Amino acid sequence: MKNIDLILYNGDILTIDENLSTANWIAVDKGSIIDIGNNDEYKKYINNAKEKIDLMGKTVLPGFYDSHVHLVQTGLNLLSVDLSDVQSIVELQERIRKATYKKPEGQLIRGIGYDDLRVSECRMPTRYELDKCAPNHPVWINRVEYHISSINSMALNSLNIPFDLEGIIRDERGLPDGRLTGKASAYIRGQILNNFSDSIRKKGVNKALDLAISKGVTTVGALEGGFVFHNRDAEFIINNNTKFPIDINLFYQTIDVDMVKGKQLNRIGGCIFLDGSFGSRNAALKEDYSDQKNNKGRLFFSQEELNEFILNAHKENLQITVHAIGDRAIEQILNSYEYALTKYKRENHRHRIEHFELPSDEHIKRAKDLELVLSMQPSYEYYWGDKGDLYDKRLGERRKKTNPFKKIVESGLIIAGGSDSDVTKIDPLLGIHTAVNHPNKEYSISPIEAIKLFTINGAYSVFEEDIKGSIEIGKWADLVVLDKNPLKVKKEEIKDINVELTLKQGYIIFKNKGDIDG
Amino acid sequence: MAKLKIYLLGRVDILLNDESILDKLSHKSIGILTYMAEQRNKKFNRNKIADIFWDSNDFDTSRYNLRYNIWQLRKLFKQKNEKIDPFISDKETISLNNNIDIYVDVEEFQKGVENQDINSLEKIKKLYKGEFLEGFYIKDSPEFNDWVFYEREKFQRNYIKVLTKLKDSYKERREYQKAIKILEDKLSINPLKESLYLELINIYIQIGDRNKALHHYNRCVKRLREELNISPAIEIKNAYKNIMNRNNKRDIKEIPESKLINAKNKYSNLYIIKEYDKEKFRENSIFLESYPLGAIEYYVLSELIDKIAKIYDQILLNIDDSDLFNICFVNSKVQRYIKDKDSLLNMATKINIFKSLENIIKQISLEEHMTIMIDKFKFIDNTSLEFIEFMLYRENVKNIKIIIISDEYNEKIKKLKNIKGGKNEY
Repeated sequence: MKNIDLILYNGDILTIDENLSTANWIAVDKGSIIDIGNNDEYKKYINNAKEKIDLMGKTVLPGFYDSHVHLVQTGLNLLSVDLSDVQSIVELQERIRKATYKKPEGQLIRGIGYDDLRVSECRMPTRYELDKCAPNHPVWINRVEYHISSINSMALNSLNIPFDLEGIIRDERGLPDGRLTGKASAYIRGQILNNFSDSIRKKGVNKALDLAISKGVTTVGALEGGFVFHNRDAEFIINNNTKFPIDINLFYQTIDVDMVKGKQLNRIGGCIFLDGSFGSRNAALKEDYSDQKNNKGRLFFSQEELNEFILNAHKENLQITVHAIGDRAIEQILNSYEYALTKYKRENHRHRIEHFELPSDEHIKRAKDLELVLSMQPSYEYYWGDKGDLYDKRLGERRKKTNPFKKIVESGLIIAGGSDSDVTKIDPLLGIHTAVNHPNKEYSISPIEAIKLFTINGAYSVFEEDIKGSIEIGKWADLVVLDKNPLKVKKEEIKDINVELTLKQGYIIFKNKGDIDG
Repeated sequence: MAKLKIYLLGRVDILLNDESILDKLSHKSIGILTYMAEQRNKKFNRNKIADIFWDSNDFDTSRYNLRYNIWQLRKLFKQKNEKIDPFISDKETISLNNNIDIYVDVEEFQKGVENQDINSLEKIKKLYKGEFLEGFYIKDSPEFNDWVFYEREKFQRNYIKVLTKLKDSYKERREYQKAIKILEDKLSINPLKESLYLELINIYIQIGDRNKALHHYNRCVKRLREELNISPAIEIKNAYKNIMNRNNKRDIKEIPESKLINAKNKYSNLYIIKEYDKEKFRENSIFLESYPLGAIEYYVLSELIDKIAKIYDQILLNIDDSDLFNICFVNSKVQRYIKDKDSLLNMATKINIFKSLENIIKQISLEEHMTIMIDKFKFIDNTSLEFIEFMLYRENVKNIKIIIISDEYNEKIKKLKNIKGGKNEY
């Protein structure tokens, strides 16, 4: 018997193969699974294995996919000051002042998550207020959805701002008061993000990846560049793609097909926003928002523009995906995919739709006919789906129609699960938990179906199902070891399951403090 | 006499007798000197200056700090063997000494802003090396910094005024390349200003460079989409439609008869033009370039198929699968137009490929006039040359022009000249 790298035994292994079979042990060599089986058969390897892990009855799953992550922004946000819970500008000032103690003078302090509607002053801070708490650091505060921002005098000085840019709020002397909206805010965001060095991106991304790995993630779909983000984020991923500890599949959020082709990428898009979000009431709906009459949200593309982009990318054999949340936006992207596929039949394109939160039955059928992949975020329902939560406030009765996982799965469509980090944290087990415990019970799916969202379906959604996504001979040994079996615990307790080990191609890249001797 | 030069547009610099003294000055001293120089005929209240630069409640400290900085500046002048005092001051006031020969770039800039003469405006433009006091910031002097913000905006406004006047003058004088350069300068200040893209598009339409006009349309669309997630304004969309409108294309009637080299060919019009003439005709052509690629056959034909797929994809949808299969051997991109993809792909012969490509060109020429332009003709690969010969000989396509760019008469052109025509004889 030849030497092998690793044997994992005594486990409760859910292979997620076609038959959903189970096993007790896995043999790994040179990064791949070379054998798998039940009972004591593993003993034939035990003396020849360089490393042995007694799983002690713990559960093993294929390494998780998070199919929708804004990785660089997640990383940069981890390096920022979280202002999501401040209740006044004074409190914000205090939080920023504390941050100045930790950073050398002159280095940017970025505040994120600030919600001007939740603070007592109901507005963004001015530069004079920010100067008071951080006179010697440039400061940049983003509103929670990035459309409005504030900068202090030092930051204002370091940026070249066109005087005629729309959205610069001015004081009584006619000078910029530090608050920026619309074009001005977008322009400043672009300039600041452009000035972020790649070493800062690296620091943030490493932090984000460490968190992802601790949650069992071994492959990430990174949606980078474009509006709200910055193309340098995407370039950072391209330039460093071989250096990350887990696999990162880039989705370049651009409409520039030639550029993507030039970079020899085979997919395009991500959060190319066809509409906004329910939170800011600009997801495009067919009926008015329940808490705002005469507002149906908005579409950011005309059908003609979208058709042109989709057709162009489709013709170039790219895999495409865009952000569509409301029923009107979903309709629009379905129209465009139909348009492109009618003109140019293409098999196995696996075009995706990101979010797909409020589809009708007809939308599901059309998506199935088009053989689309849906990239959805179950944990939205965990945060927003209950009575009185965001979906209820914005959509009223329509909250009972959001994220209908069961209908979609039963239609035969493939759903790839994601977190939309950092909208929600990277945590596939929470996603699985929510898909099983959907606030609308009729949309709940079984634990095994929910696991597929974050394993084999994730792999399918990026053409990787032949090498990853399930535990089978020949596939990569990307594995996650859990302290409990999601199929055996009470369904309400799935979110409390812990990750014990994460293995990437047979290497342990995360080990919890549990009792497994890895 | 001491000569002091102070540059405030762009990165600050201060020269005493043509030697930079910037690294010998404290940040505050630079601030004081630039503040006074920009308003150099003004007499300043000492307390006011102290307040601006030392925003502290401690009156004595700020007065002391001001005295110290002024003393340092005076000392520096003395060290440079200048006997003249750079400041005139008493207990209450202070001002720059007008007996020094002082040059301040912003003064010259301001004087020239209202000029109309193009030469003066060009000179004024050169003075603007960047934003006013670019990157210069004094940490605890909010009033000074506000003054910088105010001045920065004022000079940027005036700079744009100068650029606009220059651009208009260049346009009037039909110096379009210069006008384009100015528009690019304006875009570098505000890349989200849609009207600038529209002006660029219109200039390129005017000079007949459809590709460049399209490029700037796409550049505008991409920028607005990626930074603001919006579509361009209706005017720009209309300009785009205008570019895409095929009726708007110029026809190539300007080619002088004398350059026609193959009058015997009944249908195809073959022309030879010199390199310097090519931009005149390029706009509405399928423009192909030859390269000295040695033995790579079909190179130019592959490029031709590529362009056809881009421009006439609708027509390709109606082409017979058999023709598409044949030209797949030259360029696999056409595979996507094949309706029955399960058919067996047989190896195509050269003649089959030629005939199929001819069929496609013929189909296109039924709908509109087609011009194929081949640059650096001396490098064309032999098979692509054979195809041109084939086309001219067959005289099967009526609505087509072939323009060859060559500065020399060579064997390849001779071959084309000697074609006698006669489609049944091939």
